[in-house]
This record gives sequence, C-alpha cells and structure tokens, in this order.
Amino acid sequence: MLSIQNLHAALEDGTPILKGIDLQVRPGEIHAIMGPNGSGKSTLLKAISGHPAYQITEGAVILEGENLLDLEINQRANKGLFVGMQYPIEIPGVNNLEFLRLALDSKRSFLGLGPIQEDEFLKLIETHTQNLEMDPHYIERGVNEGFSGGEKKRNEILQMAILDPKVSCLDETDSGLDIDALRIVARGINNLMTPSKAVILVTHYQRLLDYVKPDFVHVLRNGKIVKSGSADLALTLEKQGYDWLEEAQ
Amino acid sequence: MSISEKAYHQFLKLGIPKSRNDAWIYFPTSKLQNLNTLTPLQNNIEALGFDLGIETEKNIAALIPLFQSDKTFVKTIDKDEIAILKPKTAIAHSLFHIQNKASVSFELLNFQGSSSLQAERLDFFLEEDTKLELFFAPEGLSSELAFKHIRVFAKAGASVQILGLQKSIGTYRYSFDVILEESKSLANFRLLNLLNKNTEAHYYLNIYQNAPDTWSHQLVKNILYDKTHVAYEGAVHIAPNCPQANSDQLINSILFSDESKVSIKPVLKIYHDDVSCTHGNTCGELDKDTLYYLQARGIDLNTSKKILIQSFMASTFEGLEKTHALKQILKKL
Repeated sequence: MLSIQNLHAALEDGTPILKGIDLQVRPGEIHAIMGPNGSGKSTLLKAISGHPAYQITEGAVILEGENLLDLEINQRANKGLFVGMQYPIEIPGVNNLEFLRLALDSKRSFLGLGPIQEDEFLKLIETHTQNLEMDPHYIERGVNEGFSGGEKKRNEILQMAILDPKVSCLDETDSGLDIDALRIVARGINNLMTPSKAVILVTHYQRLLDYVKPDFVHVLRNGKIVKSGSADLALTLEKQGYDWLEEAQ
Repeated sequence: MSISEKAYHQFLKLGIPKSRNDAWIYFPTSKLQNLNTLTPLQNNIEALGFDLGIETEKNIAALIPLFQSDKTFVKTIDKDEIAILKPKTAIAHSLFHIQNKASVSFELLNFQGSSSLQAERLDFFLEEDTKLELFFAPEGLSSELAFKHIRVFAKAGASVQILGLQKSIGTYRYSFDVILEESKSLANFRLLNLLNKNTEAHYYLNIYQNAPDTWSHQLVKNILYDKTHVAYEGAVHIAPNCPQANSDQLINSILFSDESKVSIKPVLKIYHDDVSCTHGNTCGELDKDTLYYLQARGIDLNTSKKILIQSFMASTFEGLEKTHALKQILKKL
C-alpha cells in the first residue's frame, strides 16, 4: 500500500536528517515508530507529505503505485495521505467548519466528485464530533484558535475522520492528552481503521499503544530504522530505553 | 485676522516640509514643491467658537484646507440624536459639534476631480457620552496628492472609532489628532491597507490621553503589492496625572513584492507611571507552516494563499460591534 524506499531527506541548508528509510506498510496494518528525540521521526512524516523545510535527496514514497514525491502537497493529501501534526497550526479567522468543508470538497474534486451536500456534511460532522466527544462550539471557531493542546489533537483526528484517508500518519498524537482524552482519541483512531487502510503512529510512549495495538514497531535512530519488531518491542523500549540498541549495534 | 488668514500665516511660517522634518521623514517631499504657489481663498471659515489650534499647528496638512476652502460645512448633532452622515461631495473643511449622548456614523469620502492637490480637514467636538464612528473605504484613483486631516476632541465617556479600508491608488497622507480630554473617553483605530501600483499611503496618528482612565487601541494591517509604500507613525501621549490610561498598538504587514515597503514609527510619550502601553510590529510573507498545513489537508496552494490573505484582512476588524460603518467596510472586503 505504502512503500517508503531508501528515503533520504535534508534541511534546506543540506544537513542530512533521514539517511535511508525503508518501510513497507500493507493494508490493515498499524505501524508505530519510536525513537529518541532528534532521531528524525517527525521529519519522516513531514518529508513524505511535502513540507517545504525538507528536500528529498534520494528515494521514493509509493502509494498505490504512484510516487508521492512527484505530487504537490495537496495532491498527496487528496490521494489518501494524511499527516496529523504534532503541533497543529492555529489559523485565526478561518472557520473550522468551512475549513473542513473546503478540505473535503478539495478531495472530492480530486476524485471527480461534486461538492458535498450541506445535510450530508453536517451529519458527518455531527457523527464524528460526538464520537470524539468534542464540544460543538469548537467547530464554529477559527481552526485550532484558542484550543487547548488536547482539543487540537482531537481536531486533527476529526479532520482525519472527515477526510477518510488511506494512510494516516499521526505525529505524537498522544502528547498533551490527559488519560480520558487519550482514550477518546485512541478510540477515534481505532474506529477509522479498516482492513483497507493503514496507520503510522509516531510516539514516545507505550501508553498510546495500550489503546491502539500496533502490528509492527520500528525504532528510528540517527535518520535510519535500526530495529523493527512486534508490539512487544515497545514494551522493551519502555523498560530499557534506547541505549541497549546502541550496544546491540 | 480671520481664520483663513491665520492658517495661511502659520502655513508660511512653517514652510514646505523637507525630508529631514521628523513628521515627513518617509514622505516623498518632492511632491510638495508646488505647494509654494498656494494662496488663500475667501474667508468664510467658521469655528463655532471652538479652538482650531491654528497658532500651535505644526502640520501643514491641517492648515491648507483652512485657507483653501470657500466655507466651512457646519453641523450640530443634537443631544440623544442618532445620525448616519454621508456627504454628497467631500468638503474641504467641516466642523461637527456632537452633543451629549448623540451617536454619529460618518463616511470620509475621497475627493473626485482633476486637481493635482486635494486637501480636506474635519473637526469633531464630542460632548459627554457621545459615540463617533468615522470610516473610509475609497477605491480607484486618488488625486495626484491628497491630504486628509481629522481632529477629534472627546469629553467624558465619549468614544471615537475610526475604521479604514484603503485600496485607492495615489499619494496621500492622512493625519489624525485624537484628544481624549476627559476620563472614560476612548479611541479605537483600525486600518487595513490593500495596495498596489505605485501607491504611497502615509498615516500620521496622534492620540493624546489627557485624563485618567482613558483607552486607545490601534490595529493596522498592510498587504502590499508592486511598488507600494505604507508609512505609519502612531504616537500616544499620556499626560501627567493620568493613572489607568491604557493604550496598545499593533501593526502587521505582509509584503508580496521585493519593491514594496513599510516604514513604521511607534511613539510613546508617557508622563505617568500607572499606565499600560504596548506596541508591536511584524513584517513578512505568508507563513510557510500555515500554508503547508492547509495544503496537507488537500487545499491547493493558490486557494490556501487566498484563505490566509482573507483571514489576515478580516482579523483587522475582528471583535467589533456590527455597526453601519463595519458593515460598509466588510461589504468592500
């Protein structure tokens, strides 16, 4: 489904961050990416989605037969790639509801469909805000404007739910969440997961993985995946940290 | 000496500003040279007994309309009256006396005509608990050189709100003197410049907080294309023995051309300790991370830019009551 092949990425000044990432994600799979601070986890998600701060120096990112790196940022999203941000941006003055509608209509247009009907859209919003236990007032405000850290993360999951992507990449979605919010957000992710979709979770902690069970855990270190394993690997990392990996290398 | 003669006399005394003059430092003073040829017109200028401050005036833009006018348009708004005023044509000198608890909305018009110089002055005298709302939203071509000078005196509990959406092309200088004479008076200034071509837009705002418990707010946003230049000098003067005076000023600019520029000069003259005054200024391009965020949700680059520009513009007038003036401004946004 998603194939990341020998991906190298660097900052605009040429500083290399990703140094050859290989990752195969099949439909129905949940992958967790862990690693120490500065190992390149967030960069990986930003790079595959087209963030302008990074240049791809080598490699390919294939989604259903097409190299995403050949596409514009919005085209990658409309093709089915969703990146939930670690620090969702506040956009004052841009109404959250209108933003969601525009995003959804952009995707529909990409797929050759017309704009969504008002009733259908509002029903969709109502369903997902209820699932995420979001205060409806947040929908009427500016995008993430004045939201708490937890509300911003819920809003990211709401966007994911509305856009219904094929591959969802969530960057530290659990950071800033209290226990209840973590449970709700995790439920939101699980609800959206189907056998035809895939999820990549970037996280520092096991606690998210208690709710969203990964099929594979990968450890990213110094721009490369240095170890992959089952969900048990996350438990080991939680107990032992990352130093033993260095020793094992 | 008549008002007109006094104004002309003071004008001659000041002389044509040079670029080294602090108040005209950003202005293309080469455009002022023809002012040497101005001579006074007839003397039908009235002041209704109010002081027009001619002898102490240091701004020639405040003097020219007084000796270049045929007469003063005088209007008294009676106590408790609510008025929406829109002049049919711009008049060089107008004077408004707004009596207690009256509420006035007034649209500043652009002069239309072929004259190379257009100069206008408006004096407002606000009695207690009055509301004055001034707004301007000119479009199209301004005259070759245009001055507007607005002077507002506010008594206790009076408020003045000035809203501007500037899209016109030309070289112009708007100056404002707002004098908060008594407590609980306030001034709110919101301006959005959306400029292109070779436009030179200059604003010179003085707010005098001469009483305790007064409030002023300035929010200016600039979106500049082509070879445009916006100069903004916003000065707040807080007099001695004026506790609980509050003032803030924020200017945000987005430049879409390497040849566009902004010149910002905040001035705070504070002569009392127990006050709160802030100022800030930002200048840059559209935020790359925000553009990325919008695109990462499937929205194309051009639409993303439009959304951010629209949001930037609309935020100029955020949080305001939906008055007649605001509705007119938003219609033209």
